[in-house]
Amino acid sequence: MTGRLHFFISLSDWLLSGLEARIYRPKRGQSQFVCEWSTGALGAVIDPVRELAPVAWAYELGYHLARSLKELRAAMNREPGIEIRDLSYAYGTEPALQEVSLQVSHACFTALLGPNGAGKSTLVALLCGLIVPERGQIEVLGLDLGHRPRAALERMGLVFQPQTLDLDLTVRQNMAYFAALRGLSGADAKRRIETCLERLELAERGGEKARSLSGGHRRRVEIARALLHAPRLLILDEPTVGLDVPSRAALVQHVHALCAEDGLTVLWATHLVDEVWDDDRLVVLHRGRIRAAGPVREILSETGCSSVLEAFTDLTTEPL
Amino acid sequence: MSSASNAYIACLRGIVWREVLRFFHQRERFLAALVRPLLWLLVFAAGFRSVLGVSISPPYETYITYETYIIPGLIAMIQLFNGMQSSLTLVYDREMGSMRLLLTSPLPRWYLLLCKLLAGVSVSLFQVFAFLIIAEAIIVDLPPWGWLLCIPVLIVSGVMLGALGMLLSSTIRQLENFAGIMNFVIFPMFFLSSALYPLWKMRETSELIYRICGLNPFTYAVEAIRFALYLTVDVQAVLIILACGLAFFALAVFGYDPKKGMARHRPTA
Repeated sequence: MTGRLHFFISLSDWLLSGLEARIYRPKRGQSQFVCEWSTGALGAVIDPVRELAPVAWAYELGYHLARSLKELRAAMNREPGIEIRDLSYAYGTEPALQEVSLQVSHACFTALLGPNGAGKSTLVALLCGLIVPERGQIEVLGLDLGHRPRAALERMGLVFQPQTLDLDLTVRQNMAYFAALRGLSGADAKRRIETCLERLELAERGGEKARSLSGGHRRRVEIARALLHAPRLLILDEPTVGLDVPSRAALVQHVHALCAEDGLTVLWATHLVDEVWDDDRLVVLHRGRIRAAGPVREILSETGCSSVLEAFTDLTTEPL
Repeated sequence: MSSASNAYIACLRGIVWREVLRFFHQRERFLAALVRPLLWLLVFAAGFRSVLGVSISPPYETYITYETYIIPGLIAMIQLFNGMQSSLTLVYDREMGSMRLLLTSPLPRWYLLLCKLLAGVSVSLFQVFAFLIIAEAIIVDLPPWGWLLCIPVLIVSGVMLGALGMLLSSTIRQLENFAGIMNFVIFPMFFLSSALYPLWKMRETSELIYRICGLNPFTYAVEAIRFALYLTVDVQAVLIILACGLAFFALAVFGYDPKKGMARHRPTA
């Protein structure tokens, strides 16, 4: 009974998780099914007893799926977030990042805080492969970006500082274009689009042109779009630029909720200290170098400051 | 079909669909694309028809009017402007940051650029056929099957001119520099070709200009279209534009390589 109950709980857990399992038919002469999760992880090899009645066979298949989900969850909990070692990059002779080493923990909200020109956008561009490092190594979700950039990009959701919506297209058309860039199409893409729009409370605005949306809503569409392919890591580069205070607060809250509910690893680059929450992890970047990294409370105690603003000012002010 | 090939097809379909949708949303762009060649056809050609006589030369089997002669050149001009317009869009997208969306797709970069190229070619086909319908209705008479035969040639020439635009976009750092393209690429390519006058007429005036015209890939695009419209395949011209198209595309892919090309400058804010 316990086993069956666990199966039903796991299955409902799976349905709520939004993860998809693709089950491949056995190859000729074999009886094993192979299950692949939408995260790209290969699940269990399923070998249901063929003589069973259809209902029992379906139950057996479901049981294997639930077990595979459990394994996937366990693997995801062990999953590394981002690991950067000795990263350097320069524009000509002007250094943008110098020997940056840092870790972004899995399923955590990490704020990358730095003043303008600190190197945040360069770091984001390096993380998503728009530029390649001159020195150093980047691992994203355990994948070496230098060797497996495409596999890493498949698992990554990105929101860039400049708005990247096509203003002449509707919200759904923008989402469909992005889905196509990720190789998704047809009913699968449509279902994902609706799920993501609902998740970000945008379903009713799906038919509107992006041009008619406010700045805050456009950003939410971009976040919904970045979640379309169920990424494990979400990188946002100053997503609140140009937004009013309530829209900024709502956006920060939304992304924190995504992180907490889905176990999503989030890297949020910003220069605004009020976007950093007490429970977050914080990386302070200044003039291309890491000045502090760790949980916010730890940094506050190390610096002897009472607020993030004070610590940030302290860490980024040059001595006269 | 495997899921990987499905992903490639979905990507191609999505990029072409978006480009066509954008084109039809921008009515001014559609009108501009039509007005330009129509002005050449209705005003320029009308003025020059009495000055420029065109003798019988392949693929024509009889004397033709000057309007008929410049039709292939104007078709190629539509594709040339469309290729440059696409490259302008690429530079604009890169300046504004929306190019990042394309370049961070997990599909190979060369394939994404190829999709973008084919999307531009699809748009140029709409423009060309809209122009041909108007030209046919007003002034010229083309063989009906020529419309069909010229489609593959238009695809090849569109790819060549689009790839040239893409290559230029990978070298241009700022949108403001784009005006230089007009002066240094579009006009020389158009005027130093057989679009407006036959090459033998050019030779009568200057051997040097004639030779330069012979080196211009745009000349071969014009001739390939001219022959295709009259149900003949100019194999040499098609092969030359195919080779040039491949070379331009390979260089454009190199230009968009993050290790070597345009990406080595500071990302837009």
